[in-house]
Amino acid sequence: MIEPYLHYSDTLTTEPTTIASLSTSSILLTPLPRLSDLLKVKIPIAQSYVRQVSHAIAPSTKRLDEIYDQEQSTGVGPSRLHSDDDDETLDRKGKGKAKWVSTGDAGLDEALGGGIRRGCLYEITGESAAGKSHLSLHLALTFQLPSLTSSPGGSLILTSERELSTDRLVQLGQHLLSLHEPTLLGGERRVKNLLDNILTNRVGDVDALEHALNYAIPAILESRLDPNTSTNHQLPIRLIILDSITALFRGGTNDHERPTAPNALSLAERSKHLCIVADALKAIAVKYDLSILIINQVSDVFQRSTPVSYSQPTSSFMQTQPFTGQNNANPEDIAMIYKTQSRWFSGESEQLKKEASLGIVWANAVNVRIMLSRTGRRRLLDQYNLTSHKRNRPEDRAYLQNEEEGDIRPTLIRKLHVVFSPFSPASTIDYVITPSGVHTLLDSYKKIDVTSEVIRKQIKEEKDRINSENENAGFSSQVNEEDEGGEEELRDNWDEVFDEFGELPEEFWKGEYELGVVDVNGKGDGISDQVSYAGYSDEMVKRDGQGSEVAYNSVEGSVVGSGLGEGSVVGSGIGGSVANST
Amino acid sequence: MSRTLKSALTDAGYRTIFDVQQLSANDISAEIGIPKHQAQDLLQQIETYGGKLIQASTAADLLSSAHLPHFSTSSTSIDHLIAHFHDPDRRRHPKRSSRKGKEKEDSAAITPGMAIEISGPPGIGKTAVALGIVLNARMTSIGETEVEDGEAGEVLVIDTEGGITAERVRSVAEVITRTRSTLPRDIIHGIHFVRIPTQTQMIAFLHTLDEWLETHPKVNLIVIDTLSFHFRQPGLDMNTRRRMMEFLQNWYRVKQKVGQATTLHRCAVIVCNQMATKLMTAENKPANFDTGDRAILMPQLGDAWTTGKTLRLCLFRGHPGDDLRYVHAEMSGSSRDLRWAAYDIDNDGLPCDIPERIYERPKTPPPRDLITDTALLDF
Repeated sequence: MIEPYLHYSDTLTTEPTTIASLSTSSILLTPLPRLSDLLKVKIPIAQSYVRQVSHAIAPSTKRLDEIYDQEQSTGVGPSRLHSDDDDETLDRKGKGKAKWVSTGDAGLDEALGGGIRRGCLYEITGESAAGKSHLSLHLALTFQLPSLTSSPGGSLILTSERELSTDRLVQLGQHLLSLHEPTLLGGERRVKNLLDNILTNRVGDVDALEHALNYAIPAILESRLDPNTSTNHQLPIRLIILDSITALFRGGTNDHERPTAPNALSLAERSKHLCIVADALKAIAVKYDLSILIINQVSDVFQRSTPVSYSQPTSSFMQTQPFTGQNNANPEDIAMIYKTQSRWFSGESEQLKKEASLGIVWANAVNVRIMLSRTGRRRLLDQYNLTSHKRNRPEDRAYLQNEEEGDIRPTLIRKLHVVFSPFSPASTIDYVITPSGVHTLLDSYKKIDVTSEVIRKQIKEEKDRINSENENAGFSSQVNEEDEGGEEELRDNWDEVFDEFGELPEEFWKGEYELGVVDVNGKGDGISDQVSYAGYSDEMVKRDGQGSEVAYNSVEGSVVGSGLGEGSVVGSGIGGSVANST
Repeated sequence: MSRTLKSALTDAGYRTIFDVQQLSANDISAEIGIPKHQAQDLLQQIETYGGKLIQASTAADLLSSAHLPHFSTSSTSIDHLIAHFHDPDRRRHPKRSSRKGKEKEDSAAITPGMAIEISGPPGIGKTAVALGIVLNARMTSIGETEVEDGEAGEVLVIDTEGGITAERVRSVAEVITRTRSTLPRDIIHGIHFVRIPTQTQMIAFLHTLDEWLETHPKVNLIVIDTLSFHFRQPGLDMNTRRRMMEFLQNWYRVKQKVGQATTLHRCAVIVCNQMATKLMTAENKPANFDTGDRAILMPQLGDAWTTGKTLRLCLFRGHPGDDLRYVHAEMSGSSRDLRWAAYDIDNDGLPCDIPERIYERPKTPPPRDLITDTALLDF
C-alpha cells in the first residue's frame, strides 16, 4: 500500500531503499527473509534497516498535559501555517476553544460536546430531505468565521450525487454573517470571500474518491497551507465534506451497469473500499488538522419477530427446533446477534425505523454518528428569534389589530440524534431550518438513558411475579403509581400539529378554522383547543370564508356556515355533531 | 510450580529469584521442607528462566500478586468480574489498609502482567472503560507514592481511532480528583499519549515499543485503543494475498510485543478491539453469505493475537427489553456460564455501577489451570 501523503523524515537511510525502490510500508510489512533478499543484504542488516525505518517513522509519544496545554494555547494544533492573523480576532465568547469549532448554535454545541472537533470523522445520516446537506453547508460556513473558531478555515466539498446549491450558500452566508459578526462591514464582499473558501469537486465512484484522497486532495491542502501560493483571503482548508458516501457504493451510475444485488463478493469489496477510504480520511484529518463530515443515507429496518422465549423452553418448543440439541434460547447467543446490537449504533430508534447504511464496517470507522430525521410535527415559529407561538385562536382574532412583527411561519420540527460520540452522551435535540440556517430549539435536549427505565421495569416485573406466585387467583395488578413520568409536555406556549409535508393551508394557522381536534394537553376549553391530524381527518370547518367578518359562535357542535359554499365542511374530531352548512 | 511450593517459598521469605538462586538445593529443601529433587528442579527452572530475562522481576511478583498495584475500572461490578479470573486469593493486603483516602471498598482487580481484551460494538463504551482503568491506575499510583516511596506508575495510551483527546481525559481526571487532594494535572502528566493514524506507523511504533518501554521504566499500564483498527482490512484480492500473509506475520509480531510487554516490563496491557460480523447457520456453524441464517458479532482479530492467559471482556447491550450494558468475561474459552456484569456509563464518561445490579464475586474459584501462579516459569 503506497501512502504518498506520508512523507516523514530526513534521517531515513535512503540508499538501500532506492536500490530496491521499496516504499516505507513495504519495508515494514515484508517478512524479514524476503526483505533481506530484496535488499541483497544479510538478515541482521535488514533487521537493523527495519529498525531504523521504524524509528524514523514511529510517531513520538507526548505527555498528555503537554498536549493539553498546546491545544489550549494555540488552538491550532500541528499545522504548517504560521498563525499570524490572530490579532484581529473578534471576541469569541469562549466558543470554539482549542480544536473545537462551534456550530454557531448553542444547543447543537452542547449536544455534540463542544461543537465539531478537528481531527475527527463525523457522519451525518438521515432520510432524504432531512436536512443533511443543509447542515453541512451551514457548517462549511461557520468553519470560516473567526468568531466561532480559533482557526477558521475553508471547506472542500466533494459531491457524488447532486451539485452544490450555491444559492443556498449565498443566502446562508448572508444570514450567518449578520448573526455572528454583525460589526464588520463590507457585507457583499465578505459573502464572496466566504464562498471563495469553499471548494467543490465531483467524485463519481469509489475509485475516483480514492484517487482524490491519495493525490488530488493532499495537493490542494498543501497549496492552501503554503504561504507562497495562497492569496490573501484564502484560508487553509479545515473541513472536508463528502456528500454522500452511500451513492458511491450504490452501484454504477453508468447506463450499462445495473445495480446488482449484494452478494458475498460485492460486500467484501465494499468492506475493503470502506476501510481504505476511512483510513485515508482519518490520516488526512490528523495530518492536516481538519474535520471530516461524511453524509450517509439510511435504509429501512425490517421488523423481524424477536426470539421470544428466554425462559425454559417447553417440550413442544424443543421438538420444533431443527437444532441438534443446542438450546437456542440462550440469551447469550441472542444478545450478540447483529440485530440486537445494531439498534444502538445504527441510529435506529423507537420513532424512526431506519438505520444508517454501510453496516458495521463503516460504523466502526467513524468517530461520531448523527442521525437527522423529520418528526412530522409543525409549529408556528418566528423565523428570527425562534420563539414558538400558539396558533391564533378564532377568539383572538378580534384582538389582533395588526400582524405581529417578525416572520412567523409554520415550521417543521426536525430531530437530531447523537447516536454515539466520544465527546458527549447519546442524546436527541430538536431543531428547525430557517433562512439563517440550522437552529436548535431551547429545552429540547434530552439525553438517552435507558438504565433507570429498564431497572424500574425489571423490578416491577419481579414484584409482579412474586405477587402472582403468592396469590393463586390472578395477581393484583399493581398500577404503577410512579408513572413513567417521562415527558412533561411544556406545551403551554405553543401548538403542534402533525403535518409532515406542509399540507395544511395557511388559514389553519391563522386560526380561521374551527377545529374539532384532539387536545394535546388534556386541558383547554372543550373542542376549540384541540388539534386535528391533517390528512387523517378532513373534517374542518371553515369559519371565515373569504375574509368577511363572521360572527363567532361557540363551538359546541353548531356551525355557522360560510355561505360561500366553498370549504364549508363540517365536522369535529370528538363528539361534535355533524351538520352540513348551506 | 505448585501452589504449596509457592506459598512455602514466600513464607520462608524468599522474595527474589536471586535469593533463591544463591542457595543450593540442599539448603532450599531443608528450609522449606521439600524433597531434594524438587529443589533441584526448582533451581534448574530458575536458571533457564533467569537467562531470558532482561530485567529481573521479583519472584514475589510472580508468586503472589498481593503486593502489586491494582487497577480498577471505576465500576465495582466489572472489577468483581475480572477478579474472578485473576487473584483468587486476595487475602493479605497489609499495605492497602494504610492508604489514605480510601472511601469505597477497594475492588480493583487488574494487576501488571495481565492482558485484557475489551471488545464491543461501536458506541458501547470500550474507550470509556479503558479510560476508567487508566485514570484509576494513575490515582492508585499517585496514592501509593504518597504513602510509600514507590515509583508512580505511568501509563502509555496508544490511540488509533481518535476517540481519546487530552481534554476528554483531563475532564474525567477532574471528576475523579474532586474528592481527593491530587491535581488533575498530575494525573495526566503521567500519561504518555500517541495517536497513530496509519498502519505503517503502527507497525513502526510496535517495533520500537520495547525500546520505548526501557526508556520509560515507570510505565506499568499500556492501553491500545484500538488494536484491530489497522489490521482489519479483508484482503481478498489476488494481489493482496501476499499481504494477508504479512498481516498474519504482523499479528504474531504484535502478540510477541504484547507478550513481552506483559512479562518483561511488568505492564498490564489493555487492548480494545472492534467487532466484525460473522454469519452462522441455524445450527451455529460458520456459514457464508448464501447459507447463513443469522449474523452475530465477534471480535475482529479473533484469537490470533491472544495468549491463553488473555482475559476477554465483551461489552454489549442486552436483548430487547433488557437494554442495560453488560460485560461478558471469558478466558481461554472457559467459563461460558459465568453471569454477566451490568454496568453503565455516567455523565462524565466513566463506567459506573448500577446500584441494583452490583455484581458479586462468585464463590467458586475458577479451574486451577487458569490461575496465574502456575504460569510462573512457563513462557
